[in-house]
Amino acid sequence: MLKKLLKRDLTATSRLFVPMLLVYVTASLIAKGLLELFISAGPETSGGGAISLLFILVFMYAAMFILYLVACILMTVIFIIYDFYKTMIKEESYLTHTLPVSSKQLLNSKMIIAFFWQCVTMLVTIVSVFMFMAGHINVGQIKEFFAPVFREIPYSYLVLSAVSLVLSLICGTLTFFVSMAIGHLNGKHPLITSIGVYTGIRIVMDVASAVFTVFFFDNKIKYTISSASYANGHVTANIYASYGNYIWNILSCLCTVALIVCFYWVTQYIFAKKINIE
Amino acid sequence: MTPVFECSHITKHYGAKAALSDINLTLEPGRIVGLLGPNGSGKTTLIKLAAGLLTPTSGTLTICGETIGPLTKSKVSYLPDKDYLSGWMSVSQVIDLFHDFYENFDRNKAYEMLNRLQIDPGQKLKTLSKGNREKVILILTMSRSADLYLLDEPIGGVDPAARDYILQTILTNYNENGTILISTHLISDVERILDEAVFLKNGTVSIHSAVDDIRNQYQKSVDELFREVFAC
Amino acid sequence: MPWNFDPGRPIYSQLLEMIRLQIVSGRYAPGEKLPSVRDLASEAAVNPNTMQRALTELERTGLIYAQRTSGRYVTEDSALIASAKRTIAREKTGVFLQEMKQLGYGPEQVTEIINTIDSSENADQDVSDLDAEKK
Repeated sequence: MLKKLLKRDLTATSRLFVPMLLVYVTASLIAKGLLELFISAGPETSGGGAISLLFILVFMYAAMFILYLVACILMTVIFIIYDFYKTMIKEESYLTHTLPVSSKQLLNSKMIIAFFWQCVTMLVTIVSVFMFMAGHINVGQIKEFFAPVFREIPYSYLVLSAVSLVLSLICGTLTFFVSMAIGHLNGKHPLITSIGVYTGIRIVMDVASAVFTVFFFDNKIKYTISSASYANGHVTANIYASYGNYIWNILSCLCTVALIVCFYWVTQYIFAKKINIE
Repeated sequence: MTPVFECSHITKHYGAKAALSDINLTLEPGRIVGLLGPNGSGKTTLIKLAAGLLTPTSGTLTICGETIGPLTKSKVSYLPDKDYLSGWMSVSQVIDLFHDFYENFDRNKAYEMLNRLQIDPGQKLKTLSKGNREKVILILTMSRSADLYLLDEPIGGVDPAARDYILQTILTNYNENGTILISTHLISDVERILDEAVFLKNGTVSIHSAVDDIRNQYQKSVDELFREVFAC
Repeated sequence: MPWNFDPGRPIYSQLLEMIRLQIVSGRYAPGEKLPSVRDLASEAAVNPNTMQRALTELERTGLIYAQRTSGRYVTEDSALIASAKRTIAREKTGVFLQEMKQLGYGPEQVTEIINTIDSSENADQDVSDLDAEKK
């Protein structure tokens, strides 16, 4: 059953994500092309003398491209919310909630698909960054740049950071889902109630997180590049890393897991036992 | 024999207003039952409770002895009175969807019926006329071999020829061991196919009787009795 | 096309009358197999349960009988069919005569009207002649 739900959710969401990503890929290929053009045109166009038309056009395009990238990040969130709202609360919910599946299965499918698209978007972005660097910055230089980082910070910490990122993505998605689930209980104004609930939850979460940080964290800076210089084709940087936040990070992950469990249970309970599609 | 539908002291409130008050209703298998009442009497609410789209404020509701859940949903075929399918899907995609999720869905029967209506399965739902879209949804609903069919206003807002077609489709395709609950306010069109009638007045059951008993007892048609009971 | 009914009377008894009429008028020959309940119900556009009830009642009159595995058949007893035909004819005539009585025509005048209608084209004129004769 879950596979069938995944198939359905994937087909429905592809209609939103695939065009967005295709546009991004196209735009980034064009950007790459312009970048190459710009670089090969030489130093005259990049600074020195009169500002050429090419420079202006490339600059404008770069600005729009960056805006589109930011928009993609926003759209990823919006598409996920839109799909959930449409299929779990609005008209299509008549079909969704009369399928012979449990609310847990419905929720699992939504979460998996949301995470999938978040990963795809991130991957596409990272690949495009590497594409921009290709031919100008090689892997060796990157390794050099980050070497001090890897020297100072234990491997396990980086793993923990990755885990923390994944957990916060999942928790973020679930925060939206649980807000909509609670919001839909108010049949007359589900959308506004959802927004209200979400705002409330976020305020509480952020305040609690700030308080938690103040008490458990003696050093807020994980690591930062405090200075960097580029000379003779080498990049050097001074990295300041701190471990005081190791425990904070673990505790924070645990809290996130607790929130995930809580939000998941509340959402599936509401749709299983308190469903109110008006 | 387990009743196919049984509700006991069902009450449903929307805020302060009670849409259904203390409903007790039992339906046996193999019957065609009309859920009759004016607009706002609670028919759609009762049907949505049975379909699993609403939860009662109090009381219990069982389908074939089970509480509402994935198992009952596999036994219930629901025809809502609104458009609930994704417009971007084609007819054949929706048929595939139903085939995937419902074991008791007969794909061949559905295609046969579409063929007879000359509806091209490759068409997207949003490009179909309203009448055709409703017929497609009806075909999907009746191609399932369910224990309980819930039809919410299947002939409302439809021309007389289409009404005949819809009633004919319902009669020739339903699972005879199953029960059909038709909610409607167009009683004269529907009463000839009913076994039983349930009159729903202001959220309570005012009459539940076999239709021929009504004709014998009151010496009038169900439609005429309805007009009396619900006179303004 | 669905069969026509008066919704104010139980449908099963109307179905019974209609099928009985079909049998006595020869649409279903003696010994002929009737369509299945479902097919008949579909033709009439009624609930199969109602059709089933009508057929069960009709079985009681003896005009049809059920063969357990193969369905329902019209009786081969032609005398029974003829007798049923006569009974229906008598009922309908009785009703007709009652209506004519309300107009003021007794059975003999009714017979005359029938004869004149049979033999002439201008039925109206002859009836008014009859009235004139009466006066």
